[in-house]
Amino acid sequence: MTVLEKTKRGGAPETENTAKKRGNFLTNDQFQMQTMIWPGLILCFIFCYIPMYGIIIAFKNYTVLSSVSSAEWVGFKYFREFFNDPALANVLRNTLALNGLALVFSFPAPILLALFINEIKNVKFKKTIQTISYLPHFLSWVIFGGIVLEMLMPNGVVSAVLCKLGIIAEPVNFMAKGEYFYAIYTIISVIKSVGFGSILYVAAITGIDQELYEAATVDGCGRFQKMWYITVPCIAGTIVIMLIFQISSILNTGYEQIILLQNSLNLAFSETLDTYVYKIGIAQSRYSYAAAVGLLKSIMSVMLMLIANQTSKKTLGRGLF
Amino acid sequence: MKRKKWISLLLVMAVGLSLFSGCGGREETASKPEEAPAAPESSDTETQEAPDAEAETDAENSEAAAADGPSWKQDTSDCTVTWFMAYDWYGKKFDEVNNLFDKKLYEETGVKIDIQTGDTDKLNMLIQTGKLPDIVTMDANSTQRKLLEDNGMVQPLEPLMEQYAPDLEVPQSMIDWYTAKDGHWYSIASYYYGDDNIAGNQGYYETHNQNYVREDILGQIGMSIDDLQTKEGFLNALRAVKEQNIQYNGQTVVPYMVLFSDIADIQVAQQLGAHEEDAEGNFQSLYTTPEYREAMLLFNQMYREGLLTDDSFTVDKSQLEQEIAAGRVFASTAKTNVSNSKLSLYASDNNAIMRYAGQFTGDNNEKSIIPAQNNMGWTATLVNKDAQNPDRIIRLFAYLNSKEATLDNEWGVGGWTLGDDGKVVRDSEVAALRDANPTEFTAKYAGDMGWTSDYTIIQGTYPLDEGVWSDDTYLMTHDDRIEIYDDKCFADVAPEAGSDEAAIQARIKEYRLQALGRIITASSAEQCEAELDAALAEMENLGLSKLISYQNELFQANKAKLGLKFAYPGNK
Amino acid sequence: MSKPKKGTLLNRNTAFDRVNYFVMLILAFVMVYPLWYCIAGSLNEGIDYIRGGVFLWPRKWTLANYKAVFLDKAILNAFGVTILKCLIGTVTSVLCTAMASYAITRPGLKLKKLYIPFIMLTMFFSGGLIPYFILIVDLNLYDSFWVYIIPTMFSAYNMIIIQSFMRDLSAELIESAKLDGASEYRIFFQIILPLSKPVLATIALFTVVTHWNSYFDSMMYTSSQELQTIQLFLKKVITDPSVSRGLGSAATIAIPDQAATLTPQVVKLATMVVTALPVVCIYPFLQRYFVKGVTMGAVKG
Repeated sequence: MTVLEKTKRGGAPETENTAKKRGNFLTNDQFQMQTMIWPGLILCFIFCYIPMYGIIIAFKNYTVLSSVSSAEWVGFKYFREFFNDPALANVLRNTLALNGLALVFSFPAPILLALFINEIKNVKFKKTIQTISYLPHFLSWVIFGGIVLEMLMPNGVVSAVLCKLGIIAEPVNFMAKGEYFYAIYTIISVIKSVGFGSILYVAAITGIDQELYEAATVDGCGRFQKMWYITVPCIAGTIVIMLIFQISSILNTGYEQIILLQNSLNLAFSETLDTYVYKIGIAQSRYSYAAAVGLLKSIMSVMLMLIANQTSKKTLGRGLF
Repeated sequence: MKRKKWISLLLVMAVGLSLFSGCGGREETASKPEEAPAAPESSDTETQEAPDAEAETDAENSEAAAADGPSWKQDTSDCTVTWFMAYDWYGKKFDEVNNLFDKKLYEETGVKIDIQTGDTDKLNMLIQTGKLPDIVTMDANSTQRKLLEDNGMVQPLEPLMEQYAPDLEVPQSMIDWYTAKDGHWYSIASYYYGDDNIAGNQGYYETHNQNYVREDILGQIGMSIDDLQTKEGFLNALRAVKEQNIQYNGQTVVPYMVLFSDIADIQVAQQLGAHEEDAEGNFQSLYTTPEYREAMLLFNQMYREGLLTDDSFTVDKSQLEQEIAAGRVFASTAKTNVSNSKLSLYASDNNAIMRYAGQFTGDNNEKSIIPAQNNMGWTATLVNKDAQNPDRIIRLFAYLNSKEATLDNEWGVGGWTLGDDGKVVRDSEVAALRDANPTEFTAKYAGDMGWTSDYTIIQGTYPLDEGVWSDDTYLMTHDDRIEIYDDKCFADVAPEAGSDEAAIQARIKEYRLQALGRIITASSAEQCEAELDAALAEMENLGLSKLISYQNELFQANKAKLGLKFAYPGNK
Repeated sequence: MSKPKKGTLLNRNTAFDRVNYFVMLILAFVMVYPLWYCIAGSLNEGIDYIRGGVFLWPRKWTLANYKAVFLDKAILNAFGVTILKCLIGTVTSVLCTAMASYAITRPGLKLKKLYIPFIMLTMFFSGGLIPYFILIVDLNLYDSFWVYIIPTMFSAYNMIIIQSFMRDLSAELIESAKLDGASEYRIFFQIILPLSKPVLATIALFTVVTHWNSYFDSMMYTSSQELQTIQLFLKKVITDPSVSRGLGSAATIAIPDQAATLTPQVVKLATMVVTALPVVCIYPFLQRYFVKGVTMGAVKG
C-alpha cells in the first residue's frame, strides 16, 4: 500500500530498491499484483516450458515409436544435414528476399492505411472502408490463392486489363515467370493483410489526444504536418513493437500461402525455409530434422529481437518493455 | 470485488459448458428411443428396406437359426466401435437415423461407428501416446502400417476370422501379400486387385494413365483415334490443331495440356515404355531410363512448337478441369483430370466429346505396357490389439465386405437391383439424385464407407447404361492394344517414415519439379538434353543411387513374396 | 477553441481529400473483390461455373450450393461449438492477458526482471508437436472442450501490445486512486480496463478471429465429431477428396450423360462464404470502441 504512494513518476528502479529495503513483499498491493500476473506465468510454464524438453529431439533420432527420452543421441547430425544441404543457399536467399520486401512494403502498408483512413472526414465512409479493408483476411489462403491464380492466368482478368491499357502487348502467364514471383507474392500479401493489420494502428490513433490536433491547427499546420508531427509520434510505440516483431521473424514466411503459389517454373524463387523444411521434415515424419531447424530459427529470432530492441531503446527511447 | 468477478466468470463458463454438453446429450437421447425397438427386431425393418431378394431370405433364415446366417447377425446387441481414418478431409458422420446405409448397417450388425479423422501427424501422435482407437485406417503403402504390424500394436486378423467370421470375404492373395514378418495377417486393404478376386468377380486392372482427345476437333482436322497410337501420330494431330488455328466458342484451342505438378512426365514416359525394373530384375529410377529422356525431348519439342504452353506448369487440377470443361483443350493425359470435366463439357455442348484415345508408343516399344493403379490397395485397415470387441469388429468387416453392402455403399441402399445378366440395374430415382446432387445422395443413401471394399465386385456388376460414354468405359477396361500389369512390387517401396532415405526421396522429388521446367522449356533439343544431364547429375548428388539400392531391397523382397523373378512383363 | 475554422475545414473538400477518397475507393474495390468473386461463384450453378468467366455476377443463379452446405447437419453443431469457443476463449484470454499486462506495467511489481524474459522466451521457443500432444493427453484435455480454452488463455504477444498501451496511460491517475485507498484490483477493473477499451477491443477482435480461424486444435486434439469446429469442417470440404481418392481407386468413372449440377468448386465457395460471414460481421460492432476521445476526458479529469 505504501510503496507507490512514496514513489514519484519515472522512478522505477528506485521503487524496487525501496520495496526491497522495506522487505514487505506480502503487502496487500504487492500480493494483488503478483496474483494478477501469476495465472499467465503458470499457463506459460505448463503449456510452453513443460513441452520444451521436446527440443532435445533435435539432437536425437526420434521416430514415431521411440519416446523423446529413449530415442538415440545423434549429436549435431540434423544440423549438419541442414547446413550441408545444396538447396540451402537458394532457400535462404528467397526467404530473406521475401521478408525484406515485407519489411519495405507489407510492414508500412497498414500504418499508411490507418493514417489515411484517419483523414477521412465522413464517418460512415470511414467505417465502411475500415470494414471492407479487413475482408480479405477472412478468405482462407486456399480459396484466396485459387482466385489469384485464376486471375493471373493468360486468359484471366489481370492480363485482360493490362492489355486494354496497352501496358502489355499480349496476354502473359504471370505465374510462369519465376522472376515475377517476389512481386506477385508481396502484392497479394499486402492486399490480404493490410486491412487487418491496420486495426491495431487505428486503435492506437484513437487514443491520441484531440487537443494536440486542435493546437496544431491553431498553429497553422497542414494535414501532412499534423500526420507527421502528431499522429506518427503518438503511435510510434505500436510501430516500434510491430517492427521489432517483424525483424525478429525474418526467417519465417509461413507455409500454406507459399506452397499454393508454387509451380515448377517459379520454384527457384518461391521455395522458402518454411516450405522446404516442411517438405523435407514434417511431411516425411522427420521430426528431429524439423526440430533442429526450428531451434536454429528460434535462436536467430531471439538474437534479432534483442538487437532490434536494444537499437530501438537507444535511438527511439522505447522498446518492447 | 475480485471474488465477484471470478465467480461470474466461472458461472459464464459453467453455463457455457452445460449448454454445450446439453446439446450433445439431447441429440443422443432423442435418437435412442427410435433405435431401441429397431435393434432386436432388425430383420423385420430390414426386409422392407432391402432391395435384394437374396438378402431377405438370408434375414429370415437368420431369425430361425442364427448360427447358419451371416456371422454379423449372431450378436446384434448395441456396440460402439471407434475408427480412426488418417484422412483429414473425410467428413462422414455415422447417422443410423437419416442415412439408409448406416441404418441398415446398425440393424444388421448392431454396431455404431464413432468416426475420427486426422492427418498423418495425428496418426503418429496417436501411436506415440497409445491413444489409438479400435480400428485404424491409413494408406496401404504407408510405413506406419508396418510399424504397427512389426511392433505388436495391432492384432492378427486370421484367428479372429476363423473364430468369429468365417464368411469374411477377402482374396487369399491379399492375405498372403499382407502377411507380416511374424507370419500373421493384420491389414485389410481396400481397392485391392489380385488374380483371385479379379477372376472371381470378373474384375480387371485399371490405370489412370491414358490420353483423351476431343472427338469433334479430331473430325475437323480429318484424323481418327487410330492415328494417335504413336508418338508421331499424336504430334501430327497436335500440329494440325495448331496450324489450322482451331477455335472453339471463339477461343483458340490449346493442342495439349497436362498437369506437370502431378506426374504427367512419368505417365508419358511409361506410355513410351519406361519401367522401374531393369533387364537384370533390379529396381531402377524412371528418371535414368532412355524412355524418360525420350519423353523430355517430346515435351520439349511440343513446347518449342507451341503445342504445349506454360499453362501446363502453372495450372492446378481444378484449373485444368476448368480449361477442359470450357473446351479450350484438344488433348490431355490422365483420367483423374478428365473424368469430371468431360461431363461438364458434354453437358454444355453434346457435340464436344472428350474421348478415350489409349496410349501412344515411342521409339522403343510397339505396345504400351502400363502399370496398374495401385493394385496393392488404397487403404489398409487394422485392428488395435486393445480393441474392446474384436469379434464384433471382424464381423463388421464381414458385413462391409459382403457383395450386398459393397453395392449398397456404391449405389445407395435401394438404389440398385441385379439384372439377369448379373449387372447392376439402377433405381432411376436414386440414380437421378446421385447424378444431380452427389452430396445429398451420399447423405441419404450411400455409405461412403469403402474403407475395406473390394472394388472388383463393382467392376464385375458395372451397369451398362452409360449412354455416350459406354464405349469409352468398355474400351478403357478391355483395351487389347495395351497391357496393364500388376504394380504391387513397385508400389510398396516407400522409405520408412522419418528415415534419411525418406529425406532423399523428398529432396529428389522437390528438385525434379524445379528441373522439369528448365528441361522442357529449353530452347533446343541439345539444350534440353544438357539440362536433363545436369538434373540427373544433381539427383545423383542428392543421393539417388543410395535411395534406389534401398528401394531395390524392398523390391526384391516383394518379388520373393510373390515368387516372381521379374515384375515387369517386358522382362519375362 | 477554433470552432468556426473546424467547420469550414469539414465542409471544404481539399484536393487531398478528393485524392484520398479516390484511392480509398480503389482499395475498397480490391479488398472487396475476392470475397465478391466467391459469393458470385457460390450462387452460380456448378456445371456452368466450371466453364469459367464468372467474374462479377452469377450467370445461372442457384441456391443449391448453400442447400448442400446445410444438408450436413454437422455444420450447425460446428457453428455452436465455434461460437462457444470464441466467446469463452476470448473473454478468458483477454481478461487473463490484460491482468498480467497491468501488473507488468506497475513499477512496484517484484521479480519483474525475471518475469519479462520468462514470458518473452515463450514467443520464440517451443517444444514442438510431440511433447505438446503428450502434455495435452496427460492433462486429460484430449478430446475435451477445454483444450480450446485453457492453452490459449494467456498470450505473450497480446500482453506486449496491451502493456504498451497501458504504459501510455497517465500514472497520475493511478496514483491519485491509490491516495483514495483503491486496491490494485479496483484500479484495474474500474480505471484501467475502461480506459483501455480501444486496445482491448482490438485484442478481443484478434482473439475472436484466431479462435474462429483455427482448425489445427480441433483436428489434432479432439476426436469426437461433437467437438468439431467450423474451420475443420471447412477444411474437410476444401481439401478435395477426389484428388486423394483418385490416387487409389477407380471410382472416378462417373456414369451419366449429364454431370452433376453440383460440383465441388461451388460447394467449396459456398462453404467458405458461410464460414466467413459471421466473423466478418463482428467488426462493425467493435468499431464503436474505436471512437476518438475515449481516453481524453478520462485522463484529463
